[in-house]
Amino acid sequence: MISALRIERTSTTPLVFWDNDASELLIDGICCPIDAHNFFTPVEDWLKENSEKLTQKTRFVFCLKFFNSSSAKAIFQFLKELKPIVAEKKIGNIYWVIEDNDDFMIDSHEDYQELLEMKIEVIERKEK
Amino acid sequence: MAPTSSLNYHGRLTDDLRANICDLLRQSLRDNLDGIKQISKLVLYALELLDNAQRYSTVNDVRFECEAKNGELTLSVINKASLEDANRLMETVNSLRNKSSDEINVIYKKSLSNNQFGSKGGAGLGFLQILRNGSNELNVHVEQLSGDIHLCKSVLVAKITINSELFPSSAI
Repeated sequence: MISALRIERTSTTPLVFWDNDASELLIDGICCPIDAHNFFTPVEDWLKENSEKLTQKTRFVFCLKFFNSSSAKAIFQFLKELKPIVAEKKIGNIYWVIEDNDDFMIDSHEDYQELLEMKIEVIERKEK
Repeated sequence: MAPTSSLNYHGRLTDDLRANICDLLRQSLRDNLDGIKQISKLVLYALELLDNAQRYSTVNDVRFECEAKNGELTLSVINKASLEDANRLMETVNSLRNKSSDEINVIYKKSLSNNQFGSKGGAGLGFLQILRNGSNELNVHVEQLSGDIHLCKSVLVAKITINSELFPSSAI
């Protein structure tokens, strides 16, 4: 059984929620904590703890409105942890939501794909 | 006449305030400058300067000024900081001053992929992020107040682009 993970949304941090039924990890909201490394540590720990139990159905969804540069590096580190798991399990389901053709989110997606040499699917949305 | 907009704040800076200032700036630019493009990047500039102010302030008293005028967005953030932090910020900006955009991009990607965070949570990417996204000018000034307390002033100027096909009356 994959352990539960739920970090509630705040004004500067996103909701982080593992939905066991959908086999989906959602990171949703604004991400600009002063210390993003500290914020993402429990998420990385959860990934390490549960990586063996993830399946091909598993999805990782990044739905971020905007994020600061400290978070940019923390997200990079998280994706780096995810990369061998994706390669080994062939889960291949990492999604990057881009609202309203947001130029910053488009550039960030390109950076991560290029630097990590991994496929990150884009989901385009209109802002709610 | 080119549209103008300004937003100023002076006082304590908390997580909530930082996020709310960025949200207000985003809405203010969107509602006052028809057809403005790249809002996210402009808001990102403010966020990075405010992050630094909150991270390195020795006294929680920050002044934030933002003005969109004559096709440019000017952002200014002033906070009190230790000489060490203020000088480090200033030296970082000075070291990047004569770099080409390609060089900035290379340094940014190298810094993004290293695993290093500062003791106060900084990733060493903020100014790089600002410069690679097209800020025209970025300066940090340091002024001694008393003892080790210094005034750190970060000023940034960025060009505002307007979608003139959709909003010809707002073209700057």
